[in-house]
Amino acid sequence: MSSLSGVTWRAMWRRWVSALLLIAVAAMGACGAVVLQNLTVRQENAWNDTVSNTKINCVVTNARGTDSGNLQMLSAFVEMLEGKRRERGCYLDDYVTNVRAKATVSLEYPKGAALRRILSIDSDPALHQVEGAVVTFAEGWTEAALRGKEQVCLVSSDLQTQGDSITISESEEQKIDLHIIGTVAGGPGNTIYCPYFMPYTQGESVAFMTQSCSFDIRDNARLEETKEELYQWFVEPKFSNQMDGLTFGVLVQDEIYQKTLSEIRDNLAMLRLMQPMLFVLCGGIGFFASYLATRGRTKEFAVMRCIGMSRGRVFGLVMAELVVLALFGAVLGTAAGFLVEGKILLRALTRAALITGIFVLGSAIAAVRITGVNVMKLMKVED
Amino acid sequence: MKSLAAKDVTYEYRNSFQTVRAVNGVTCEFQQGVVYAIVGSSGSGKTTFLSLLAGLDVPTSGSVELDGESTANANRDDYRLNHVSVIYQNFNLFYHLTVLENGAYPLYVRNMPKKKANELARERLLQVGLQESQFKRLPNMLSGGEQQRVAIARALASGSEIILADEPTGNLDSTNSRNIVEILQRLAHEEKRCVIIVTHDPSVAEAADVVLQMKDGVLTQPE
Repeated sequence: MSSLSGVTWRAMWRRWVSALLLIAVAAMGACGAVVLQNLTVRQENAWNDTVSNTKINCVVTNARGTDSGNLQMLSAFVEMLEGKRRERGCYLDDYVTNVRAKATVSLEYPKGAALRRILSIDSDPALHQVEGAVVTFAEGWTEAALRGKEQVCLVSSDLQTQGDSITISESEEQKIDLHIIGTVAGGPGNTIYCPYFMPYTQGESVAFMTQSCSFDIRDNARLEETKEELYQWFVEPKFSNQMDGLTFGVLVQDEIYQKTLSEIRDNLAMLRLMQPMLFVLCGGIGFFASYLATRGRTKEFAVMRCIGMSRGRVFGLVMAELVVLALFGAVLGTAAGFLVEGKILLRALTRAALITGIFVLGSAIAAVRITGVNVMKLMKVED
Repeated sequence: MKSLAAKDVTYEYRNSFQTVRAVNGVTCEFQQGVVYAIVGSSGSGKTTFLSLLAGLDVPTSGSVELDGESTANANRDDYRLNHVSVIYQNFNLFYHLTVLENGAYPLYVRNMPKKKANELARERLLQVGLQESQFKRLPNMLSGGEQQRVAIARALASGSEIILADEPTGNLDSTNSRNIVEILQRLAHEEKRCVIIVTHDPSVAEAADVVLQMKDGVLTQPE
């Protein structure tokens, strides 16, 4: 360090009040940048989490949207949702997931029993644990079997069975044996649950009426595209729609999702608006704080010029002081930001550096103004 | 032997509304080893003339020449650093530097090592009558006379052959004024420097070897 630099630093610390003012202002700018950036990142993460993790439930209703539990809808619609009709140009399964559907038929045999075709345990609200139902699968079997076509079933624990199969029939001529893969305790009595797409005869497809159907959006980021695709096959439920028995509606339950996203979007817009405001503010404060801190030293700079220092050298000396104070403040501000936030992201550090840079730019403008005075006029006025 | 000369020097202050000619065609020459006093009423242009001699600005017309070379063509920063030193009425010290640091400042500007610069400054401060115990004090802990001595020591430390003093005794009592004038006389007569003093004070003017009168921007030698 040269003797001039040494004496400049010593003088700088002797002017500790103005040094502290500049450090404090730079620290506030850096701390503000860190906190603001962390808030922005947090909101962006909340946006991503909401889009990734929110399950948007869609319920199939009649065309008017007045009923979703007794649809009498052809199983072909469920086939479309499950991707079993892709060869016919329907790719709804690209847009939806976790399809739940239930179709109930009365059985001739066992007497008084009902057969429920389900795609999953969730397909029948009566099987939910909160309703008191407990579904137990036999060893080697899982819920996935309900999405297959095997002739298997779950039976109510009150139903009389012999061995590991049960014979059922919808009519006298169609009797089949279903392999029992589990039991349902605490649920509806006298009920047999089989895979939704189970045929009576192996290899044949079946058509039947579905009472209820619902599903989730596969990719929330493509929600609008999904809606467009859905409404090519279903309609948006409206009371003015015609009820022809072949047209069904889909109610997309995305109000909370949309409201959450809207709030996050508003927050992000506000935070993104605040960033340039913070930049302008820091530049302005950097200018004014540096101007105030150095204004009283105009004569000192004039004396430096009188002694023979060039304008550039005086400017360099002033800027070196301001940069050191700004950097010191930036480090303190970043540390304060870390204490407030508990973590520092690289982006936040970049913003803090940018804010400090803008602060220094403001300081540089002040330094140019102050060191650019006409020394002769100043000395004459002072004397 | 260095000589400082003003040749038909004119200087005008301009703003949007008016132009004021503060110095009007001044020609004169200053020699080393001589104390010059420039006297005149307020607004006569003497401080402006001194500032032009100090190289703080260039004349509107005419030239200030050191050994025949115009300061307008030379590097004026270098001219101020190596050839002239200015002493002001209100001392113009650095109030956040110690007495010793103030004295050594021109040497720091020349990138002289701190130890050597401080040694030279110490000699000059002792030469103008300051005591070693005062060297670590800040200027505002000194009296006006002592502060002016620090300013003179700073001018001496720089080794400039031309010392310009603008009302150097203006803020001092008569005893301190006399001491300062004696120091400036010694600098001219013993160290062969050229000392030019702008003053209102008749006692200071009397101590000068040559007295010049400034009136309405024109320099004359009083009869």
